[in-house]
Amino acid sequence: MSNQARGRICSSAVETDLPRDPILLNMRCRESQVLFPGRRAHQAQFSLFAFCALLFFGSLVEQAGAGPAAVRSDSGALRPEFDRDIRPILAENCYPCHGPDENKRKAKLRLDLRDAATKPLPDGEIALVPGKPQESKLVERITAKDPDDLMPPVKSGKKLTPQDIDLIRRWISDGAKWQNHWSFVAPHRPTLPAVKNKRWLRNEIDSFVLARLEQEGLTPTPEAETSVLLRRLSLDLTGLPPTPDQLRSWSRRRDPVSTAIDELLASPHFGERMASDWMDLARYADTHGFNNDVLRSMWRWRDWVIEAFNRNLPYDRFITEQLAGDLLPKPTLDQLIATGFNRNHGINSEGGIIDEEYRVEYVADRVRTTSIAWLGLTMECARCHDHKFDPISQKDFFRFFAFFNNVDETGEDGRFANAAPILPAPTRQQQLEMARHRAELATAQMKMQSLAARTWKDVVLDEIANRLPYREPAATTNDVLRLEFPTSPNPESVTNLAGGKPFQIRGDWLLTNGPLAKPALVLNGKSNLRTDSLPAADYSKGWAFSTWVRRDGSNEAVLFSTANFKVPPSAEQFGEGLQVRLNNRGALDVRLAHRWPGYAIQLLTRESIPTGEWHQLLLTCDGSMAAKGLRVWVDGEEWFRDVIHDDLTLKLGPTGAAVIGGSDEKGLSGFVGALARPEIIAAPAALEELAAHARAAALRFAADTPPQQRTAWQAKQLQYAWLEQHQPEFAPAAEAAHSARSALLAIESDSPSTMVMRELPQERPTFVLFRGQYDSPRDRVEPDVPEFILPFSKKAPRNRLGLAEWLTDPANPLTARVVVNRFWQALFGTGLVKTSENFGYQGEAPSHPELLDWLAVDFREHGWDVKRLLRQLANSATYRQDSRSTEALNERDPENRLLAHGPRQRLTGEMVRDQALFLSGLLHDEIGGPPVYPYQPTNLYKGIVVAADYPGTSYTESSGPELYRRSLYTFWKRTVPHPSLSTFDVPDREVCTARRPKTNTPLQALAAMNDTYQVESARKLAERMLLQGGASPADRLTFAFQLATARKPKAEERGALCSLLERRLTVYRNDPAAARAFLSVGASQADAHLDAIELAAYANVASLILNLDETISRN
Amino acid sequence: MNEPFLLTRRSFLARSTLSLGALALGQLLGGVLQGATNSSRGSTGLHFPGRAKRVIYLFQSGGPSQLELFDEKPELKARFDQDLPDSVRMGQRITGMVSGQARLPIAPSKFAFSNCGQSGCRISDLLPYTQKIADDLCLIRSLNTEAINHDPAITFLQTGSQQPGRPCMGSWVDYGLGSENENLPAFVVLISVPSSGTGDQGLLSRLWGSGFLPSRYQGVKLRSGAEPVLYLKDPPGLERAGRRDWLDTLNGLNAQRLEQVHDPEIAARMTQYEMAYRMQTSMPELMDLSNEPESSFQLYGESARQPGSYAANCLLARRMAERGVRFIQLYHRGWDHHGGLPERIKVLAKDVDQASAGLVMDLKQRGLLKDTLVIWGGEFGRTVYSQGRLTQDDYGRDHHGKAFSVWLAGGGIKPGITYGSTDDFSFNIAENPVHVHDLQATILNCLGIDHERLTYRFQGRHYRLTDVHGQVVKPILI
Repeated sequence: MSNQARGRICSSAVETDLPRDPILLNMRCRESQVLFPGRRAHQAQFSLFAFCALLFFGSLVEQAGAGPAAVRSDSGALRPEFDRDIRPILAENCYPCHGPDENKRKAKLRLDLRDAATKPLPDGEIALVPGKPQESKLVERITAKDPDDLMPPVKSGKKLTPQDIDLIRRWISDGAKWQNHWSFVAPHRPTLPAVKNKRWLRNEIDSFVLARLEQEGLTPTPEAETSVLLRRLSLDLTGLPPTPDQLRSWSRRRDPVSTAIDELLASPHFGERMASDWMDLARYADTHGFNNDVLRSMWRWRDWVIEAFNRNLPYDRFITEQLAGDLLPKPTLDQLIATGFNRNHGINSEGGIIDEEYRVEYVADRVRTTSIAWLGLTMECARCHDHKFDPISQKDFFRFFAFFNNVDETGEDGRFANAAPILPAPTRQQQLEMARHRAELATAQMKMQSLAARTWKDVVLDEIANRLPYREPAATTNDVLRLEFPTSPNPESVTNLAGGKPFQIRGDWLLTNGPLAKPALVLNGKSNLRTDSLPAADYSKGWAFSTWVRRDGSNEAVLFSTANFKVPPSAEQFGEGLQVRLNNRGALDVRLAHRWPGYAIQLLTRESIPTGEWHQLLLTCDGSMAAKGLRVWVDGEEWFRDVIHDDLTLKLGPTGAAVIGGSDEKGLSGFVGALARPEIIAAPAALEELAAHARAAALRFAADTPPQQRTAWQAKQLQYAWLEQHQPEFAPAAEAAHSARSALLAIESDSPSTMVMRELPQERPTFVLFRGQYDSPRDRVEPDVPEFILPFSKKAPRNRLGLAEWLTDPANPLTARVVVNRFWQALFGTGLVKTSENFGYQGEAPSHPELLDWLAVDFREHGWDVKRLLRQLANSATYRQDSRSTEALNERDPENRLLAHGPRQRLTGEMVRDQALFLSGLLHDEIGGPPVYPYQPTNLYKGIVVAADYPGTSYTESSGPELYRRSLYTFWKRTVPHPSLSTFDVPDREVCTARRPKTNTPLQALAAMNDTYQVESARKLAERMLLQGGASPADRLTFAFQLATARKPKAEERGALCSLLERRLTVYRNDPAAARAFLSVGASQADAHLDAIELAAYANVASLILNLDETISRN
Repeated sequence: MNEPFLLTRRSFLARSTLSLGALALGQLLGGVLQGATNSSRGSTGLHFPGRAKRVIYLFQSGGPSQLELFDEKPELKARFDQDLPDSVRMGQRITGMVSGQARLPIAPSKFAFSNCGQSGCRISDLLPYTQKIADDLCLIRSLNTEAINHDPAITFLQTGSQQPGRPCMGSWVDYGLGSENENLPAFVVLISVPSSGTGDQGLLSRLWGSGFLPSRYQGVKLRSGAEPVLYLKDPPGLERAGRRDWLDTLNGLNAQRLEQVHDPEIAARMTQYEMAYRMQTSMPELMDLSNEPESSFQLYGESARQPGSYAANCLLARRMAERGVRFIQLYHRGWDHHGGLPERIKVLAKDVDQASAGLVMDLKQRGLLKDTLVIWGGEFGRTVYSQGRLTQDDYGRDHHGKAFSVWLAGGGIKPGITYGSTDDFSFNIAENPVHVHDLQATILNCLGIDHERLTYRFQGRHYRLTDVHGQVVKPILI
């Protein structure tokens, strides 16, 4: 075959000399073209389709020579329409220099607005003179003979075809009528077109499709064989093939297809199938990405998505909760978890990155993802400059950016675990248990109160006091801090009895009597005690910090500190250490950091310390790096706390320089109030003992306090203490309350964490960043949306919630279209708008614009009901067509954009694997939960992943049923994704992906032949053949073939399989060891009752059946 | 097993050949498809004739220090432990790792340099073998990047963007030029483990990923050991003839299906199974060094006998170059010497020196150097000032993107020259800066590709490796 011949074929597939009919536009393979000099001289990209077409449809060469004009002989009669025919030419060739981007605009000429294009230019010329192409400068320039005058410039590599020029000329003659871009005009419900063959119609979708087919002189393909159609449906709606039982039961019904649709939509696997697509858009992964690529925990969000689809959450709610669940009034846990959508981006923990640079990247990622997922716009193009094609200015980009710029986050985070903001997200089971414990707690507390009300009398306090055991703890060698307050007037320092350097006294302070007759230090906010060094200690087994505290002020203050949390951190120390703060409402804010704030723990208690009262504070750390190991006790009772950061990377304790009542950090206020007995102990004995001691001390102090001076809390504690000893029913109730509370605390700290959106209390200002760079702020901007889409409602809040309202506003022209188009893509393989990620000027026009509008309006008007939409699509005669094509049709419409036959697509990577496991009976179809680790080639990470032993840098294969979970749950390491799936085009999830490429590679063939799960599935399928498939080889092969393809093999097909089986039997009879070897692949055991030779031979054939094109396709 | 519909294999094949030609079709498709994108254009380039047909990129991950290897600054000896003058840094950003350091003390290199070859190029004595091939090299001392941390810097060098999501250089080249060999992938990746044991910095599969290009353009990472390509090996108990038989049957059935439903993807799939089958033979043959002559191991070093070593990978790179692999990407990790640099760099230099030079010499003696472009370098260089404690014997260096060194050889690059220079501190560029995008443009140019015209339309925009930047460095071209 000569190059020339190939070139001619390619030109039909790749080049642009086609009428701008949407269908034919698709034939241009716009997305895969290389720009060549002269555009025909070299053909680097050889279209596979074109080649195959050549091979099988040899006559195409001549037809291609005749050109598509012959195919569309009527196209010349079509009046050029701006939106369909002209704007794509201008956008592609002219807008880079004569479009919306002001900075790049040449000759002050703007061709994206009619007024600008038709008014005189500075030199007096007019680019477009409506009705008069001969007077239009534009025509003169695009047809210029002199290369210096020619537009687009030769060096741009762009060139108009004669057809392009002809279209422009005719359009100008026709008056150069402008149209708004179709997708920026809100859809309205079109009337159904008239069709001839009304009998074919099943629903409204079909009217639009058939009208177009009839216009093209084509007829639909008859309905597919029912079982094949049912398989297609099952895979499309649940990602799994049907079982023979399902097929049998459906086929007995009056309308098997409708029945199947209803059942499949009700299946819990429906949510998994839909979630699978959403993971790509949401760039979901189980690791943070970037250099270190450490484990994260976002599976609670993933499970929220599955559930959302299963409970048919209206899609406008689906948008709102993911975008702004945290801003809804009284958000539920689920609504908070949903906001993880915008935290799924990569997070960089590489040491030494510039924090702000990456924080800006995360915000930009949210803009990109949100705009692709729901607007079908490539807004990120406007980050560095005005958009080249769409009317989105750089200012618009940063206004949109401002919605996402107020998250309480840092650029460098996620070194060990989730990056702030995080949320404990108990599982459904844990939530049930928590509800139970809360009820128990409430019951017990009510019981205690009613017993107290009934039986409490003023008891002689001495009686209680005498019965409260309390003993001063002895000093230990593990003490790190134990102060002896001096009694001398005006002392300069305070000795640390535990060792280390003495504390220097700074500022004015007083000594007073504290609890339990100990001296207490009264600080005024400017005074504190500071030492250069605490004694060294081993904190690997934990530590405890305790103090009595009386809060007199209401400012946020540092109580104790060994660290400076400066941002940016210092190189030497990164502000390593501990800070104990009280915030302005008196909640304890505990921070332990290796490097603040990215590598840190931060806790905030839910309860507060009231002002003017003494309380005993105890802080314990178990020596781990996890937030759950850091606990807070007040007066001996453990407090509930929210974890703000949980990403500490070193085991730390209070060490080095220390300040009591303040910190070295500038700009932080000191503590106003009193402190007594500040103590630190390393490697403390049992925590329960410390807590018990703290409680005893608190009670002792309450007892010692004169009755009229006691706080209500103290009085109640004493009352309860008395009741515990005197009222027989009280102690069990108190015990029940205590254990319910402990259980709640335990569940909270064991809950999986998930990353969420959380707003900063103070708005972070947003600026236009020059060239998009983090360190080049220019004008300040406020949150807003591109007005040409739809102005932001004056009533809506200027935050993400307002943004969600805007997106789901019935007047928003894009959202509903983009969403229905994607569901169309899920079922038909290609969207009505093929570029499902781009509805802008550079996106492709819809193949059936009215159908798209009808679906969008209908979807919105019916409550954004996803299951209803899918039922409509799947019930249509269009969908039900047989997927087979013809040579003529392939030539006419290679991508089936006219929908003259049913959809036929290769299974997704997930489905390829899930189906093999399902057919073999290995699939373990449990829904949700943490990621699993199926077979992966050994040492896959070796030589690739970071050398440090971070969580997520090694892969430990699961065992048992976890090996066979659905692929949706496979551990997704962003920088080294699972090869079984990524080989079959599952995106790496580094960025939002709206549609997957569909490739066909030798590596796929290798994986399908040899991946462990494939070989193991073949063996298990062979067992099913032998045990359930009947007695004869033909029956057994038919059984497996039918399982895999949902149709009976033809005689020839069965013959080929039987004949292979015969030959394999012969081979294995001569070499039984080989048979046994073949059966040894995979963790499951071969059925020992079966003959190894026979089983191996069947397994070979089963493997072939799993590899059939028909098996790995939805037909 | 004697049902009437059973056909013998032979008659089945004969029948299907008559109707479509299952086997012949597979072979035909394979051959022609590859042919369609191969040799006729390899030498002529995509947009204009290119001297290079292929690239071997010896990537030194972590950021090798130019001060110790290629950019000699003897005057610095006198400035030991002095502060870096503000006039040099001029407020340019430095990484978060040293931005809090009280001082930026100058650390002169401990290592001597020598005149090499006829050109007299100064190269460090840490690289005695590289010194010997100086006359074959074009040493660029003025490469620069905006990135200052590993992930963005390496992503930038390999994909043209600091942020993830773009295709890598090898994918672009595969997309533009295709393969020269129908039995091997066009774009292959080899990763070696440094003899220091750890690689410090992680690599990322996006570095050989195809980004938004179809995934068939992604690099195929080869592994040392029995299965160089994932899933290459047939399961135990399936002998080679058995696989052939299995595959014939599969293709036969697929061919019947194709006849019925007319989906060209089926034909493509049949082709890919045939290619996979051929790879099962060609890959082990490629990886098998047992038939290499003794002289190869003398040339590349004894460690070339050890699978997975840098030297073994260099030897494999030559074997792939011979077989027409288009883009051969090697990675060697461990150059990230924030501390203890003098000792650690010796280990790394020893790891790569002989084999890198051996590869160039080997290609040359086989006549392959003229159409093979070899590149040696990392994602950035290192700072003149010490990170952490500076003593006479010990120091560390932080990342430095403002100026660093890389060498190129063969494939249309002028041999025996140096290009660009840095200031007295190897901090800023003194003359002839070469930006990363310029290097990328130049590499493509050597292959006969105009970097401004190799584009791919994605999300409505034409993307290219060099984004909207890049100038071919013409003075270094032959």
